Order: sequence, then C-alpha cells, then structure tokens
Amino acid sequence: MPAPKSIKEDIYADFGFKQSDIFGQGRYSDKKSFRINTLKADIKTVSKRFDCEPVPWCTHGFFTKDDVTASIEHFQGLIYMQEAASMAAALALEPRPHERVLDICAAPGSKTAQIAQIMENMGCIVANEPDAKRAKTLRFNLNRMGVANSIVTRNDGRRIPKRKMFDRVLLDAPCSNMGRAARDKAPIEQFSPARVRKMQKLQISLLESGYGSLRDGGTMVYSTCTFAVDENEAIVDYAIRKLGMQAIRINTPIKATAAATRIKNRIFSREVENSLRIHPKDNGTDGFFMAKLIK
Amino acid sequence: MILKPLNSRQKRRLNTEMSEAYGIKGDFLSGFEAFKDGDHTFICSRECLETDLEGFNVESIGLKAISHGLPTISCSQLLFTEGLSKGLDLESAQIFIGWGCVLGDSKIASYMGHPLDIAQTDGKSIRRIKR
Repeated sequence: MPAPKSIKEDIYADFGFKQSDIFGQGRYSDKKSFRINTLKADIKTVSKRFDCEPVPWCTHGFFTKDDVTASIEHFQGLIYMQEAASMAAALALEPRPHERVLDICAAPGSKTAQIAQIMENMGCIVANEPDAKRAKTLRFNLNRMGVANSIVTRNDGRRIPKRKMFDRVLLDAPCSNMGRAARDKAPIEQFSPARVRKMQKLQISLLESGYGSLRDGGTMVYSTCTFAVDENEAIVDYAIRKLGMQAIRINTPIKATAAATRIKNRIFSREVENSLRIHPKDNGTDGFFMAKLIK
Repeated sequence: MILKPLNSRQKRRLNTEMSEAYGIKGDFLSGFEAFKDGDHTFICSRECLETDLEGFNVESIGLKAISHGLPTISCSQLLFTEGLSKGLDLESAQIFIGWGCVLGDSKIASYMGHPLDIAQTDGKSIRRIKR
C-alpha cells in the first residue's frame, strides 16, 4: 500500500523510520489475536479448542487465523478478540486486586476487561466513555466478559473529577491510528498534520485530566496505536516536563524500539526513551506505543 | 447515587434462586456485594460500592445478575465456572443452543428462561446480530 506524500514527509522523513517499519508486507493482515477470559474459563481448556499459538508477552493471549468471533466461546465471553500489541498496555499498568483503577477512554472494553481479569474481579475499575453508543457497547462487552468490578461512566474524559482517588490510570488515547495502517487504509486516507495537531491537543487535555485523578505515587499508562511523535514522545515529554511525572522502564518481553529523544531540532527528556515504540515488523502486530508514568 | 446493598438474608435468597435456576452449588456470591435498582439486581465488588462517585456521570455499576426475576446469562456464565471449565465441544454447543428457545428464523429467543435476542445460529456457530 503506497503511503501518501504528506505521511512520508511528516512521519518517515521527519522521524527517520523506514516504510517497512510502519507498513506490513501483507503478512500481518491474516494474523488475529484473542485473549482468554480467566474470569470465566481456564487458559488450558479454552486454548485447546482453537488452532492458536501463544502471544509471548501475554500469558492469556493467543494468535490465530481462525474466525473466532463466530465461536460459541466468543459468544459466551470466554474469549475476546484483542490486538496482541495492545494486551501489553494492561499488563504494563500492573493493576492489583482491591485497587481503584480509571480507564479514561474505555470503549469498546477490551483493556477494561483485561484489567478486570488481572484484578480477579476485585477492586474497582471506573470505565469511562462519553459517547452514548460506545458506552452501550462497553457495557455489553463488560457484561459478556462477566466483569463485576466496574463502574461505567459517561464523563468527558477531559473533565474527570480531580480528586486523586485512583491508584492507577490507563489512558489509551484517541489517536491518528497509523499503527493499523498495515491492514486498514482509512488511517492513511484520514491522516494529515492538522489531524495530528488536533489529536495532540486532546491527548494533552486527557493526560492532565488523568493526572488530576491519580493519587500521588500512582501509576499511569499512556498508550496510542500510532507512530506520530507528536502524539507519543511529545506527550510523554509534556508529562515529564510540565506535570513532573516520571517515565519508568516497562518490563515486557515484547519486541520494541525505545522511543525517540531527539527528532531533528526537537529534544525530549531523556526519560522518554523508557517508553516503547512497537512496530508491525517487530512482532507481526499492529503498531503501538506505550509509556509508564509515575506521579 | 445512593445504592443500598442487599443484606445477608436477601443475598442468601438470591444465591438460592440462582442455584435452583442453574444447579450451581455453593456460596457463589461470596466476595460480591449485591444491590437492587428497579426490577434488576446487580452484583459488584465491595470497592465499587465504596467509591465516591461525586462528579461522575454514572451509567451502570457492576454486573446485572437478575432481571425481572430471571437470572441473566452473563451472570450465570460468570458464576457457573465449573460447567464452563469442562469445555463445550460441538455437541455441547448444540445442547446449549438447543436449550434456548429458537425461533423459525434461527434467532435465539431465550436460554434457560432468560430472554436472549442477541444472536442467531446455524447449529454450528453463533453470530451476534444485535447489541
């Protein structure tokens, strides 16, 4: 799939990535992944029912070529189709039972349900989604997955009460979606520098909102599924410089590239390099970015 | 939003209702709180009820367990882990489907008495048709 000129200029050239880093070579498109819901079933029993192989960085994740969405296991909420790279975000958050967790942009609920299973349905997850239709989908999926420790809210993510009440916050931010470009041409068609700027503004507002709701010493995971440095490294740099957060190393076996700290004449905080840039060529997944921030 | 959790007697009754409907043994509601909202009964974690929700636009809390006197399918699946862990082969899946009231257009209308209108089946697989 050829990339439009604006993308080459704004992403490839500016940020020094090769086209092969970002776009798949056709071999990624048939690789799907799902997660086994340990709230309802055990991994060994369910994985035996599919032609699948484990996701190396997620004990309850599997790659498959089957259409598992038509299976009875999917219908029953024993499995959830989830992009394999994105499974790393909930794991990086390291939620524990009995903690309070905020998922600011929760719909459709894949990461919320994953957090719930890590927390063994204990504690409390506030799963926020402002859009009514998407919140309905979120509720449906959480119900299907048997999540009992969640509260679904419909606040504007930029206006979460700043009461420092959460131990952990997941901010899987809306983005330009370029990480999906290997299998979906829509992000390429919609991409423009103006869109990146618009997204960046929203991402900073969401970051500040999440920061206000996080207790001192609490953990935030910031993630996107895009490659634009303005939506990734620049946001982490903002969290470090403006909010005084600390970006720490993420312990995960997923293959990734350290985030950039210098792009042309822009220099980011050194801590930014603790964030991870996951390219499709690294693991055969969609592209992903994540950072772990401590308040 | 003020929620009144069920007391231990009410919770025990809920446990009995679910047990009878699904043949589930034991105190499967242990570890959860339960509360009523209109015709529905929800289960949730203790921390969900203790969370200060001032300033939040709350859409729902926890998992719907009983709706209009009938146990919900999502709750029964969560709690009926023993049965699910045994696995569902094709035959079992067909029994699952068979237990439901299937209409002429292969749309599942109910399962074990719980209205269910979100899927259709061809006997081998189930497809969701509505959210």
